[in-house]
Amino acid sequence: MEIIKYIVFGFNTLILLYFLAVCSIYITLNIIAFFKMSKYNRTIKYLDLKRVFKLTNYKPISVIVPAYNEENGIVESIKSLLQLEYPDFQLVIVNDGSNDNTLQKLFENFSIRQVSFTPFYKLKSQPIRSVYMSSEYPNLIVIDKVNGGKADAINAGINLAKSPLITVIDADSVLERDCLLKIVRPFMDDENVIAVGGTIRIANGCNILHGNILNVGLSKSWLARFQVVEYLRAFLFGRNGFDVLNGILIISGAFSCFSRDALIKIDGYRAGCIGEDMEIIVRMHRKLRRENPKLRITFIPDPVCWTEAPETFKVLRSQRMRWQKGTVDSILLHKNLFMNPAYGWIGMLVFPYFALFEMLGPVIEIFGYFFFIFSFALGFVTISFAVAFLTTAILYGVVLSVLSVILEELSFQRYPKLSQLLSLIAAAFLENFGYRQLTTWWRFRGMVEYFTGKRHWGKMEKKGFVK
Amino acid sequence: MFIYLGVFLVIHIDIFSFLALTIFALLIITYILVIQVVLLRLLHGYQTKQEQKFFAVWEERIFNYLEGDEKPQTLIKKIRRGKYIYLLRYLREFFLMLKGDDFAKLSSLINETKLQPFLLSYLQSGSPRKINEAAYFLGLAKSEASKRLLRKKLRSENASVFLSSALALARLNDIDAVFDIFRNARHFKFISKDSLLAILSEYTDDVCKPLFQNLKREKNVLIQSITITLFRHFKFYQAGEMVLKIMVYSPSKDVIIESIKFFSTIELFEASTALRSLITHPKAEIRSEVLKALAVLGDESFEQRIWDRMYDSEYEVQYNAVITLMKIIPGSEEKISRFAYGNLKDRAAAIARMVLSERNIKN
Repeated sequence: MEIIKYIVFGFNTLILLYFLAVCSIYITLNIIAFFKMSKYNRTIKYLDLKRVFKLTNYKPISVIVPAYNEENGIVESIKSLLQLEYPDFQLVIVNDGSNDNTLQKLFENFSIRQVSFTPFYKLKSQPIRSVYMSSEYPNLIVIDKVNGGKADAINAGINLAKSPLITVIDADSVLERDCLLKIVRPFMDDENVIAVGGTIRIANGCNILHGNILNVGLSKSWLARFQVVEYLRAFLFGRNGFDVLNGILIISGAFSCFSRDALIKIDGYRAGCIGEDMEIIVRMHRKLRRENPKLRITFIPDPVCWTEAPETFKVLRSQRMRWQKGTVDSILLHKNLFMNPAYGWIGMLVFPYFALFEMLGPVIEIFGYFFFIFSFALGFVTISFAVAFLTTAILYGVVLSVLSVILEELSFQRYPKLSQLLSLIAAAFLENFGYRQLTTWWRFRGMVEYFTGKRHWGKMEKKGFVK
Repeated sequence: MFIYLGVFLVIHIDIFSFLALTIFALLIITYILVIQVVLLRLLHGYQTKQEQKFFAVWEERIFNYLEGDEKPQTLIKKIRRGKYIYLLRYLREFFLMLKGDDFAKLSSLINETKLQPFLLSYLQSGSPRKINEAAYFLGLAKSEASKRLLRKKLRSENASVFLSSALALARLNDIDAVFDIFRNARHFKFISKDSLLAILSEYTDDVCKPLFQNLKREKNVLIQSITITLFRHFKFYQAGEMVLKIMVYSPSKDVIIESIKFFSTIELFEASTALRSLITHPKAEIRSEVLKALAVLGDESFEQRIWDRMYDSEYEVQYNAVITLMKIIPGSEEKISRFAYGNLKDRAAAIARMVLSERNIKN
């Protein structure tokens, strides 16, 4: 009996250490990110971004927008994208075999006419049926192709893109008008930059008109508010923290910018991949940074891209399961990076972190919770251990979440009303009592589905925020 | 005291209780921070309102000042030193928009009033934030009095201070500082060619003459390339012949490309002969750039060579070859059209069809 007690105690202690480590790492990343962002804010304050219009050395950008069944929002999205502030950009809409009226809407609204085409590059993609060009907007082209998924659609877009920089965005994202001016800066500041990610924020509750954010707001749904806190903690501060180590392992597919040559060199996106946005970055580290460690994959902390977050449990579950499958897929595909000193920080620190905390995290946490409840019920753990466990698993999470909101307030202050700040603080507190555990459970299920062969994308329904 | 307390707790309670207590303590600290942030937000809200009130009052004052005869010193006397920075932030957009007499009047608000010593004191402070802010406004207002200090700041080891001082000096058109900018930029490994160009293009075209003199003996390919790009920016025709000589012997891809772009911008027809050999250069970017330049320079004797490029291994070169042919060879559109639709399986013909159909839509 004593031996069992020791084993149970040892296992519980390991789980406790796990929770302690994951929160401590995030708090460290948040603090590192805060200093990085303060520096960034100081730098960008007097940059006069629009000076780029006067320059002769700006870099043209092709903005690729894969679209699948986007008939409800595509027209507004394109109209908004055409207003982006940049001296020279081409907008490439890729209709990925939609079976709704997406293409028809484009015909009706943008005077597009078929052009003869030959792809510039040979990245693998499903066949292109036709290419269209707008007589009204000379920088707008539309590619109509056989359905092949997001990665495949992006590859088709790259094959016809004419600019040295490629920006990939989701059709339903709302971009701030100066986002291209901002995302191109790292490429101008450092010739070694091959990819840049932008911060994604949640648009639910914001006042959006014709694809432009008029006022930043918070959704009435607590589910969406929890996600705002989650995005702050993991996406904004977490990724910015890794950036200091040149250790970005994922750039959101909703808004990213690449050097075209780098994309061509690694044969573009991997078609059929679930988490294509993570996989491509890991592959860039693996193939390009191995050859030239000076190359940089970086992240700008500016809030530049707004996206719609799921407000129902069903859609959120589907999203989180898909994300988890994507993480597992990318990590297993590139498992030889794990603890590989040839890849520096990426091999020795960032990749193991992702493998342990992002991929295996849900398994450890779910087993940990169940094991703790089980051993507590059987009287295998002391009260002091139980308090320590719950404090670490839950209250330490509260510290982390609230700290993220505080850092947001001290750096960007994007939520203008005091009531919004207080709501976010409340959400940061409450998300640790149920929401976090629920998303962990969904991630766990995602992992189970991945290993049992259910590797499809799942359906992602969106309400849309067209006004 | 805290260490003592920690030791006391470790001795008298077990490690798990200690851990729980630590996290509780962190939680309490976090909530103190929350209170602080809320208070800061209230303070910020108050300051924003004050700033808005300030802007409302000063909007009228600035417009009256620009239209009237009020002296800048009289206007600045109406504001307390503590609010100078509000005023400067308000004036920023005016500085970026206004030109001519209005700009001169606006500049005198800084250059002939107490705002200048205020900014100079910022420039001498140890804080990079203050230095950057001061350099920005002194540069915008073209404050001659700040030149000496700004040049000193060029030697700073802080990249942001270097960049803001360089930008201010460029806006001040301090020609003598240009070589200090080149020299000191080398100390920062991450300052790129593009960043330097973005700064140097703030100079007026007066900068071209000393750069022209320097180019004769300059061996650094980065500086050569930046200089040629600036010549292109300012359309400095006099440098055409010298750049041509440099390009012919340069092994640098960057220098060659910038030179070709320069010839195209200033329409230097004498460059055609040199471009003849570059049209088959091993680097596709150079071949492509030559074709773009030929589209401007329009030397018909290149016709066959350009046709040959339609069979280039790189799509971009093929694409530019078709465009160039259509631009410089009269009647070539018909010939290209025959070629494009007479060879349906040929890749070069496919590119030609693409260019033709794009052109039809654009027209």
